[in-house]
Amino acid sequence: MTTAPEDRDGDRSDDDLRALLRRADPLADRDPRLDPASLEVLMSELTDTTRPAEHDRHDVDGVGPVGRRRRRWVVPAIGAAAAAAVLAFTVPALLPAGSDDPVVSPTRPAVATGLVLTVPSTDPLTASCMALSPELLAPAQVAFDGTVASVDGTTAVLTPTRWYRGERAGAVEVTVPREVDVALVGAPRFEVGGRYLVAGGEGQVALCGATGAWSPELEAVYRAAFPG
Amino acid sequence: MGDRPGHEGHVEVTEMAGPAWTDDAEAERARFERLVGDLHGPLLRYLLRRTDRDTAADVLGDTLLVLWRRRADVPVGAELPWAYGIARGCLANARRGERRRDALAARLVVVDPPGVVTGADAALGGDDPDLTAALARLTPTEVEVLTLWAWEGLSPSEIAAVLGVTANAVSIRLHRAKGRLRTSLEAERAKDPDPRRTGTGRGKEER
Repeated sequence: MTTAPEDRDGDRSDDDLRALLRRADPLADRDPRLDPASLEVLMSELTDTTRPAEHDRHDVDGVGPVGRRRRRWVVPAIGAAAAAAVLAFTVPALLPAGSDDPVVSPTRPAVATGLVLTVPSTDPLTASCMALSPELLAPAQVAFDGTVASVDGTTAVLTPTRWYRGERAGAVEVTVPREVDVALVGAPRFEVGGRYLVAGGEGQVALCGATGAWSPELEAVYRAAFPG
Repeated sequence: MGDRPGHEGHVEVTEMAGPAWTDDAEAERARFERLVGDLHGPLLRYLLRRTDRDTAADVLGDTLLVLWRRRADVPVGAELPWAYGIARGCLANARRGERRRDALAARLVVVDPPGVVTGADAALGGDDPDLTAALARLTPTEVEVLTLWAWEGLSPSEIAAVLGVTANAVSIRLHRAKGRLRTSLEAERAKDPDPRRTGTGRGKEER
């Protein structure tokens, strides 16, 4: 017989059973709570829609109630800005053959998989940099050593030669920084044939010296940040 | 908030008027904060009844992350059972060692009154050895519906929302679990009758 009994009726005679089970409740009448500050920090982290790296704690804009902060995924920059158009990482076919983007160069090498990073715009009033260190670089989702294959308008395409972290894409497309970004936050100026170390996350390039022309010093930071 | 410690009464969740989620990020965040304000207490107690303090804190963080990401799916008027269901899934993941790899950096801190016992420490039947032994005879599924009924105070339809099954299935399962618990209890008490014990025995004779 599989007719479901009305639990309403069952409740009356089951009160004793429920009372017995309740006496075995581990919490009984205790009222454990969350430390409110820890909850506020967690809520701030998870509702931050740009979802920054955990280490980005130097937030000049950070004063105020939960939710006012607008942190950026820029390592290790401080500051807030309206996000530039952020292109999410996509795999596989990212450099679309049929794209109607007028900037796309017909001479761009065809690749099976690609990666697109944009340089976030920065607010000149609030942007500034912390010194680059392996600890600040370590949270990057993508990092590689590569050569610029082409530069076309606002787009540079790099051919990675060594991956420190992230998807093995055949080519990475990076938006070329505006002059103001170069001056303020050390965004690199990509030149065809040049060798660069690039790090990024969440579809954005890491600035403040984290991404730049290859040098032994910068490579040392990358090796320390991404062991193995 | 409307809930009280110990056994959950009805938790009043702040009414959310208007469209489910708006495009206004600030309003969305504020709405979510109100939701979490109402839910985190019951969710924490649900977890502390079933695991140790550190795991409960981690899993609650995981649960809030999922709640945020799935905020468009929150069923208005049934937020808490739905949230219990998410916590249940996150707890299962944690037990399998499969917590999300992009877990939050921020860690929740549980403030206990001194001496609080969690589900990790307590025998399932608490101080009652007969109850402990009787519960040990039930399946985990049966124990689960019984604890959701007795400790979280959920109705069959609410339990159904937690488990992702029909209310009908829960009613049957709950009815059988209660019956089996009674039978097991009687058997345990018959083994070692003690006139000082009170409970649900149907008057088994002492020997």
